[in-house]
Amino acid sequence: MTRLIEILASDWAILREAFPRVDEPELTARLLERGGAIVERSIEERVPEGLPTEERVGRLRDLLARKAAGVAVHRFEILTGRERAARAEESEQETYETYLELEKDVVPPLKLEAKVLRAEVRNLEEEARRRGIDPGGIEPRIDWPNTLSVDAYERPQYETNESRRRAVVEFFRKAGEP
Amino acid sequence: MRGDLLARFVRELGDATVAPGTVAVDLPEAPGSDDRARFLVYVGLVDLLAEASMPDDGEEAVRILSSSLSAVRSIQPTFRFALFERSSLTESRELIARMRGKDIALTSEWMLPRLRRDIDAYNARIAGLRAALELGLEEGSG
Repeated sequence: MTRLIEILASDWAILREAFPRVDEPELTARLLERGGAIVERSIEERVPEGLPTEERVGRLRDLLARKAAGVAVHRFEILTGRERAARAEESEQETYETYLELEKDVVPPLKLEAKVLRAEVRNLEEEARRRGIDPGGIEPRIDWPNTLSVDAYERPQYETNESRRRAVVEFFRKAGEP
Repeated sequence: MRGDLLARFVRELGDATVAPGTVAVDLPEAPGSDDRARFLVYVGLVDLLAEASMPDDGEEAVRILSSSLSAVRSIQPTFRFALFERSSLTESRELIARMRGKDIALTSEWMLPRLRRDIDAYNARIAGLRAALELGLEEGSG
């Protein structure tokens, strides 16, 4: 069973340049064989100068292959993750604007309207009682438990940076008064 | 020159502005997760480049490899941090957008229709009460 693994095209191009006469399946087989062998070997971080040159070259190649591969994988994730990052930023901004519009411009007027109307219903019912009319007998009736309770609702105050600054200055001015 | 290819690869490794285009390597065997397989592919790729870039002189080879290793070690922390920061920020933004999306759906799909339905009911009730009051007045005056 085969599997497709993505790597950066620019990295693959460098490898193709290095082995122009080797076909892709052969190059892939070499990659895997070489990579597997190095990963399975125990890594030796130290490369003392007193070692024979051949051994130093071997240790350095293993070290370089592992370290550079680690960075290459990180870079791959960063570069290919840019699209996801851009999508996340756009989505966050979009939902922020929609949410703000709802909470600032759409919901408050409706809640305030409902609050005023609820008060008016109660006033008229009270007026009916004063005149000896049973409001319970007047249609249509309201199923109060199934309505949204907005009697205590107040429009939220959105502060600007300037108004917050003024409030802080005012607070310290008052705190400084004898 | 082939000898320059390892140096070029290492130089480009530190460049986060290279084109993000990818190619798919068809692996006849499937070792572990995609990340693990990608690491394996890159280990092989770097070593094949090292092989292609090695001069006959052993000491020169040590110098080239040491210099490349040193360059890779110097960029490694930057990439780790960048990856951590980028993925944390992205995940936070995705989470915030998801949570806000739920709030928006709740408000749009549930609260607003309910408020509008309530307002219609209050208006109808007010009309009914006013009519009854007016009728009561007329009956009283009649």
